[in-house]
Amino acid sequence: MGSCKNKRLIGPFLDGQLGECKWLEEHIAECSECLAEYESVQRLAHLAHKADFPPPESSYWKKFSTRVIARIAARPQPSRYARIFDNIFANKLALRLVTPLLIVMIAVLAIRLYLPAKDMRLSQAASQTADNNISTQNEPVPLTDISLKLGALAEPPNKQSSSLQPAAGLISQVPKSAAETQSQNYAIDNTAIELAQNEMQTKNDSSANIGNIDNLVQDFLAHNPIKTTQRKNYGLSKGSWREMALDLKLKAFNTDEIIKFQILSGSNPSLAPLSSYREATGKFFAPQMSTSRPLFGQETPYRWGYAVGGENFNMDRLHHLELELDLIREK
Amino acid sequence: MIIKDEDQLVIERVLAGDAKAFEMLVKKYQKKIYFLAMRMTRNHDVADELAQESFVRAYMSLASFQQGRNFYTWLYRIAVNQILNYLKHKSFTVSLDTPSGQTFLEQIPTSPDQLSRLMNNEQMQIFQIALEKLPPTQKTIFMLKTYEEFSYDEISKIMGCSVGTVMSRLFRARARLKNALLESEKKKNGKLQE
Repeated sequence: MGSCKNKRLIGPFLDGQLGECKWLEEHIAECSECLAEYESVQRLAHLAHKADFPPPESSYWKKFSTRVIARIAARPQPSRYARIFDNIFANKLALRLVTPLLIVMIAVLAIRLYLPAKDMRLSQAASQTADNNISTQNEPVPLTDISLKLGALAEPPNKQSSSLQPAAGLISQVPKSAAETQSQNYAIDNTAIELAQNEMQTKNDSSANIGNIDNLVQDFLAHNPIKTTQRKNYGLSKGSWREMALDLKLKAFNTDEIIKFQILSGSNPSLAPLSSYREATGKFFAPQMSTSRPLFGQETPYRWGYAVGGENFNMDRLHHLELELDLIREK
Repeated sequence: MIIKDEDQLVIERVLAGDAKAFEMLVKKYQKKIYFLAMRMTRNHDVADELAQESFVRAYMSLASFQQGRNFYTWLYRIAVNQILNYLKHKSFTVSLDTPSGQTFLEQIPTSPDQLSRLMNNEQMQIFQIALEKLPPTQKTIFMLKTYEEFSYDEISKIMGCSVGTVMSRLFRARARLKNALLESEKKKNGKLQE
């Protein structure tokens, strides 16, 4: 036996929501279910009024309004800006205008703060070489034949001469100071930047120079054996980086040389000097490599970036890189 | 019924800087707001606090009160929100005491009149208990309709829901109360038969 569908109308009818409803009145007289509902709603209203609370004494009401006013007066007044804020949110039209503006402002701020810095243009990096005051304390490094060859390769292929004269300024700016200290700074080598630009152009133009670079690497290693285990993974810890830096520094060449070598050969940019970069307070120019790139040895694209030394240097992005020092071979 | 123009004039005076004028609105609606809070919370001190706070909040929000709206329902909305917030954060128990403090369930009737009175009082107690057990929104709507005789449309504005929702919740509230009373009567009839 189903429930009468008109049962739900009894409450609204008694509440005066349906107005004159003669057909329902007649129906209630005929339908026992609706009649029971009718009586129930009335009974509930009756009970509700009977069960109501007695009012407080009259003196309570006399004081109530005074207490409310006193309470309002005791409230701290909102600041001018809070009032403006409240007025804006009270006004729906103003709210509709302000909200999109706020969303746009927040989006712009988020983009500026969290997007990674784009690659610095070479010209911008070059223009910031004003900070290049650096004094290193490395010991003087004698020029080697390789240095001469580095200088030779610095020339773009179409300008390369058979002469082995080193590029002017390349070697001369090699720091000649003593042993490594904790706070070494590195000069920004304008010449190195130029070479890097040329190198990039060369690589973009053709791969003709790759063979030459590879030969250069071989020659370089042949003349500069390093007493470390081959393909040593220097790991991710600070100590490992430092160890590698010390290895290369003490046994091979100073950091500037390494930087230049990296630039010229397009080698793995996460070599030892980066650990030195952490201590470095100067700025330098070096290849930048994303942490998601394949390991060294594969076809690894690189891009020129702007690395900042010192405490701001972010080592985290290199933390999962595994170094393969193909350049370090044991003879 | 409420004369909207009177309230609007007072509001304009208050917004012009005459804070004392707000007292007129307080005096006009203090009983209604208090009783709403009292019926919902069953505690005088709590009801007093909630009623006062409702008026204070209404005063603080007066600048956002739109002209042409019904101040009464707007004030009720503030009060209902205060009360529902209070109930949400405060669990409370249903007292079996009647307003006079006596527990009639323990009284044994010795006459038909006493039995009739007992049954009526017992019914009232059962009703009160069932009312307390209603979900806060159903209870609020039931009270707004039963005691204040607001229309469904006014209740929908106070509660911030549709008229259909008001009808539905009111129907369910009444059904629950009715079932509670029916169950108690069944139990009583069962005991009487024994």
